[in-house]
Parts: sequence; structure tokens; C-alpha cells
Amino acid sequence: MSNDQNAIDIKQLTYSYPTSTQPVLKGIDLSVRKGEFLSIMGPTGAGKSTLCLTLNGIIPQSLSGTMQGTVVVDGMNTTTYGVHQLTSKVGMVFQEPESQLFAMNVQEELSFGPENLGVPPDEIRRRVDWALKVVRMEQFRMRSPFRLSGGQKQRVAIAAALSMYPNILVLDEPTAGLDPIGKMEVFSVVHDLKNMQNMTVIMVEHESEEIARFSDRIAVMNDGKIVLLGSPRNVFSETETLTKIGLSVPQVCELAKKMNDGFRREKPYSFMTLQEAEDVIKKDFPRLSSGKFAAPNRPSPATPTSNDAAVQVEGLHFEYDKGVEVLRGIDLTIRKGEFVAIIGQNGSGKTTLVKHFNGLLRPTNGRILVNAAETAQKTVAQLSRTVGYLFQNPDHQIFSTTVEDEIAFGPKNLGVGRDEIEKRVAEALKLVGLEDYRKVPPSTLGLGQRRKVTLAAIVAMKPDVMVLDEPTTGIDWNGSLQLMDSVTELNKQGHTIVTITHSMRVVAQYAHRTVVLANGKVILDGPTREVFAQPEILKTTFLAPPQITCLAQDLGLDPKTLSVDEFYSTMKELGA
Amino acid sequence: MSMRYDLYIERESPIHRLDPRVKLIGVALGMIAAVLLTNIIAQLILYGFIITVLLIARVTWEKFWFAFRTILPVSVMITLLWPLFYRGGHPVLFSWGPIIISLPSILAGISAALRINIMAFSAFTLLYTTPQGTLVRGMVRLGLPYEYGLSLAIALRYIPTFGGIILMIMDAQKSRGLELDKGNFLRKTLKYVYVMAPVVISALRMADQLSLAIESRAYGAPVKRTYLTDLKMRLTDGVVLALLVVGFAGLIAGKLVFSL
Repeated sequence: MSNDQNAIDIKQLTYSYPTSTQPVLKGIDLSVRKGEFLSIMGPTGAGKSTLCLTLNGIIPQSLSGTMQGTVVVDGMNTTTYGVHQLTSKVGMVFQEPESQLFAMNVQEELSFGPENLGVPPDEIRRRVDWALKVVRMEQFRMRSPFRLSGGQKQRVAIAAALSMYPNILVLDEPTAGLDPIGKMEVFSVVHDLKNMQNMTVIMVEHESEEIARFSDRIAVMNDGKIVLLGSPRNVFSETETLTKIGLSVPQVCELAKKMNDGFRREKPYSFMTLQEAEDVIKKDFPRLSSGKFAAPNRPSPATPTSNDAAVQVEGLHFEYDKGVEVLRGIDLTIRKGEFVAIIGQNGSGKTTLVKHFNGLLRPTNGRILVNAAETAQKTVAQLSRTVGYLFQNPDHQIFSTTVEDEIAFGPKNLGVGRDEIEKRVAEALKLVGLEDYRKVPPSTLGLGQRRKVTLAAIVAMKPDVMVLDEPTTGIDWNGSLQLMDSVTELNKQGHTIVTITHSMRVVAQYAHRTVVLANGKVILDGPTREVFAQPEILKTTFLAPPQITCLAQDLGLDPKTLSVDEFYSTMKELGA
Repeated sequence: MSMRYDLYIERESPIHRLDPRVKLIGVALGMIAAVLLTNIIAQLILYGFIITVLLIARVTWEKFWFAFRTILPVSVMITLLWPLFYRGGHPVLFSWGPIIISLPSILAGISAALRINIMAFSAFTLLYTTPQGTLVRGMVRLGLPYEYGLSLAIALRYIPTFGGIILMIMDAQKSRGLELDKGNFLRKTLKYVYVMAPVVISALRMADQLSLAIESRAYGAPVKRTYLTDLKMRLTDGVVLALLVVGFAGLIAGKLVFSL
């Protein structure tokens, strides 16, 4: 029997899609209390999105397939009530803003649901007003979705679900494609929903630090099952299990684990947030935060020996429309063999800048040199021999029926001989670890693997310089590490790497050098260690160093700390 | 980098404020009149009327020119070619072998061009002064089933999105060494396969997700749909509609009585 106190009761849920005999969900048991905030974590393909779709009856009513077990939301069995009836119990928010906002303006988007349910106009107006207020978008009522930022779009998507007055809100990776500001906006709205509206919230998310802050409980899924379920403190103390299935945990949790293994105290350490870690360390290790210590001088990651420029940007100005300057005077030299990260909010000009490297955009003023030759006279196709460009969305280039054809496309365009192509395809497949997928249609692979295919497709062209636009966005931590490890391997082979990213952990772990853009200008440029040591400047553009770096800085330790290992060894060196 | 594919011009004007249904009916009447009327004077009156409406709507010269330019090639072609194929009538102005050009044939050419202009300008008037959403709502209230109205609205909404995706895919393939502008016509066309295949895959992915989103917002609930902002005919709208009908009737009567 379902419990009255529960918003959701899932019993022995097994499901397989109509196109496959392999179940995606394998015997899920899960109850969620009313007003609870449950986060779901899990690697790609664990069944998280599928689980979400069972909550408003789309599975099994619209996507047929084979379902066993029961799902009861707010006392309603999802197989006996229609999807339209369940929509006023369960609101859904998906990952992609572009494919869930289909109206001409914000108000139409919000009224669409209640209109379908036949709610009287006056009542719809009240709901729209309320929902806009909750997501703080009142002043955008008549705005077209084209003129909203990513974070604003997701807030509209949340409001559109809220206008149906659900008791339960399900969010499937709502921040995956957003920049740091957008993520902050969405998390703060979701936080309000829990605290002020007493909404039951189910959120699939990869951002472990935010999960630790907001969740009452966390469910960790792997291979169609729930493998861990409990409070953030309990779940995040299982660092080994989580790392094994490829998930990231907040860096302070990693630190607690290291301290417990190293110091062997009776009562183990457990940190959930930056603040908590800071407080405990201050109390237990007063010597650390006394400020009287010699900061160990850590070397910056090995920088390239060459001083030749791979890409040289001189006095670059660029405007899309007359008078609207996106890049406002950029001078930048990227040396051969460097691994450079470019960070900044959306709209700061990151993509616009790197699109100049292979001629996709041409300077309004200034010039670009690649390998000391001016790019002005060369076509994009000609430049593709020296500069490879990995686009953010792999679907924007995949067209072949097999992975190997996809990878061979670039070299073929360059007129490479057949034997050589064969050799390059094999090498590229090996680099990204897709040897077994040679003959598979790339469009059927998951996002992480599709992105590996597109990376391999660039690698096979053997360009000196590789530009990567948000290569890890939307893929899980393990996938991100695999991809970036391949990129590091390329860097070691001598390729110059320029990557745009929003993940500060990726930056800290991989990039020699970091360039920070804001409003079309470079505001910081230097070794990654030096850049993250200037949190005040980063703050002006709403960026923050990785959590462990912040902890070191807050405690007055080495402000250039980049990893948990470094932090921990500082502790030891200082005799903690 | 914003791309606008819709023609709507945001303005405050009596034409903008008019109920979309009145505008839709007006345009329909204008089109029928354009087909029926053959007399150049009657056509010029109608043309003048539409231009006046555009002036009241405070449409800029730039937009006038845009509308005119769009149909200019067609207008010129019709005016020039009509006399070559319509060879009857007197007086004959010029003849050379099989080519016989008469005054009535020239007038018929001009009349045919005017007809096309009237139709095009009626359509431009509607699109310049009515937001797409309002236009679709007008159609639905005139009897278009809601499902079709929604499909139309979504199609219009996603035109710029797909425009952007196509440009992005072209960039992505160029970055892989594809020379899109090289080779003869056939080769160039074939190269667009590398652009269109990803477009189709992206579109299908998007459509899948979109249908989940739409369904999650109770689309297709078996209840009578309500509308937050319903269209309301004001007195002015009624009067304008009546005047349009009277004007139309006048033109038709003129045609029957005076064979305009």
C-alpha cells in the first residue's frame, strides 16, 4: 500500500524501451516523502532520464515498451491515470532549453499547460503571475525565447511546469548546458522552491557540490539500479563506490576521505560544504590557519619548451552587427605545444575568439597568424590542415553510417591517400578507445561517445592546433576524464590545445595556462595556478576557482593549490 | 547574431491594433478582388487602398522597398512576356513575323502584374502588422483546428533555430576540410548532403524531445481548451470589417454593372 506521507512510491520497477530487449530500469524501489529534495546521480546510460519519464506516465503510456512494477505519484497510479491528469501533479523540466520552449513568448509558454487543462483565463493569469514571480522573470513576460540567456530559458521552463500547479517537480539535468551564472540562477530558484513553496523536488544533476548543499537525500544510479541511497553525508562518504562508477564527489569530501585514511582519528571527518570544511579544519588544526607558515613553492605544470607562436592574435576587434562589438581589442599569443583553457561567461566572446583561429570568422580589425602565416587569404578548408575545431554539439557534424567513415571524412577532404587514411583512422580510434565501434552508426551512440567520435574525426586530420569548444559539457565526470585524457595524450604528442570550458575542475586538472575573458576582453592570462590565485578578479565575472583552491585560500594556505592531493600534502608538510 | 525571419514590424498603429481575424478576412477579400478585377482603374484603386493601409501602419520606406523588390522580377517578367503570348486585339502597335503586339495585350500585361502586386502587398500588410502568434490565433478562431494552428506556430518558431543550426553545421563541415563552394553545380549540390544529413538527425532528436515537453504540459487533454488572451472584436474592428465588406461588394458590383 502506498503511504500518505509519500509523494512518490516506486515498487519493483523494470522497464525496457520498445526498440530493445535489454531493460533500462532493473527493479527500482524508491519512495520520496512529500516536500523532500531528492537528487539523482549516475553515469550516462544509468537510466536516470528514463526514471524521470516514468514519473508523469509518459512511460509507459506514450513510449510503450515493457514495464513491470508500479509507480504511484500523489496517490495516483501512473498506468491508470492519463498523462494529462498526471501533469498537474508532476511538472517536468528537461535539459535542453531549445527543445522545450516552443512558444513565441514567455507568457504563451507559461499559459500553454493550464490552457490545455481548460483552466479559466482569470485563474491562468494568476498562475502565470505567480510562476513568473517564483523564477524572478516578471519583467520578461512578453520576451521571445530568442532573446533570453540559457539560465533565463531554464527558469522559464521551470515556470512553465509550475503554472500547472504541480506538487512534484522533476528536473532532468536542468543546468547541464549552462554557464556558471546560468547554473547559479537555476540552483537558486530550485532552492527557493524547496524552502518557500514546499515542493517535492527530484533533480538529476552532475554538479556534486550543489547536490551536497541542497539535497535531503541522494539516489545514485548505475546500470538501471539504485546502488546508493541516503543523506548527502552518507552517500558522499562512499567515495570509492562513486569513483568506481565514474562520478565526481565534492572536493571537500575527497579531502575528508584522505584525512581519515591518513590521520586515523576515532571520529572520522566528514565535510559537505566549503564552510563546514573550513570551520572544522580551523578548529582541529589551529597551526594551519595561524598564517605563520612558508607556502611550499609548487612548480607550474610542465610548460612547452618552444617559444614559437602557434596562434598569434593581434589587436583583434570583431562585431557581428555594425556597432555591436563582441571582441574589443584582444592580443594573445598561444605557443606551440601549450594546453590553454579559455574561460568566461557566455557572451564574453570565447567562441567568437576561437572561431577566428580557423577562419570561420574574420576580424573587423586586427589580424590572426597561424604558424606565423596570416590567415586572411586562406579559406576555412585550407586552414583545417593546421587548425582542427571540435564543435560543442557532435550532432552538428555527424552524418556517416559508420564510425570509421565519419573519421575518414576529414582526411579524404584533405586528399590524403587511402592507406594513410586507414592508418590514421585506426590511430584515432585507438586514441579515444572506440576500436570496437568501427562499424557502428555513430548517431546511435551516447553523447559522450559521439563526442569521442568527433574528436577522433579531427585527430585524423592531424592539425597542429586543436580548438575544443566545451568538450565536456553534458557528459558525466568519467566521460569527461576519458576525453580530456585523450586530449592530454595529443598534447604530449606535440599538438597545441585550446579549449573553452565551464568546468573549473577540468581547467585545474589539465590546462597549463588559462585565459579569462569578460565583455570581449582578456582580464586574466597566465599559468592556471596564477590565474586561480586571483579570486577577486575572477569574482568580477562570476567565476570561482575549484572548491579545494577556495578552501586553501580561505584558510590562508597556499593560494595556488590546485588539487586535493596538493592540499593534503600541504597539511602534512606543515605538520598537521 | 540574432536572425529574424518574421516580417512583423513592432509599431503602434490602428492597423496593428486591428483584430487579426478582420485582417485575415480583409486579405482574403483583397485576394479575391485581385483575381476577379480585370480593369486597370479598379485595380489601381485597390492597390492605392492597400498602400494607404501600409502608410497608416507607419511602415518605413525601407520595408516598402523590400516588399516591392521582392516581387519586382515577377512584375517585370509578366509585363514583358504577356504581350508576346497574348496576341489578339486592336489596335496593333507593332508586328514582326510571329510577334504581334497590340495595345490591349500591353494593358493585359500591366493588369496581370498589378494583380500579382495587389496579392503580394495584401500579404505583406498582414505580415508586417501582425505578430505570428496573433496571426495563428486568428486562424484558429476562424476555424482552423487547434492542432494545425499549434503545428504552424511551432514551425514558425523553429525557422530561426534551424537557420542557426544549418549555419553551424556548414561551419563544422568546413572546419573538416569540406570546400562547399568548389566544383560544378552538381558537385556543390552533392556536398550539401554532408550538411543536410546532420540537419535531419538534429531535427529528429529535437522533435523527440519537443514532443515529450509538449506532452508533459497536458497537450491533448480531453477537455475544452481555454485561452489566456482571447481575441475580442471591438466596435472599431466590427466597423472596419463592415467597411471592407462594403468596399469589396462595391468593387464587385462595379465589375458587374460597369464591367470594370
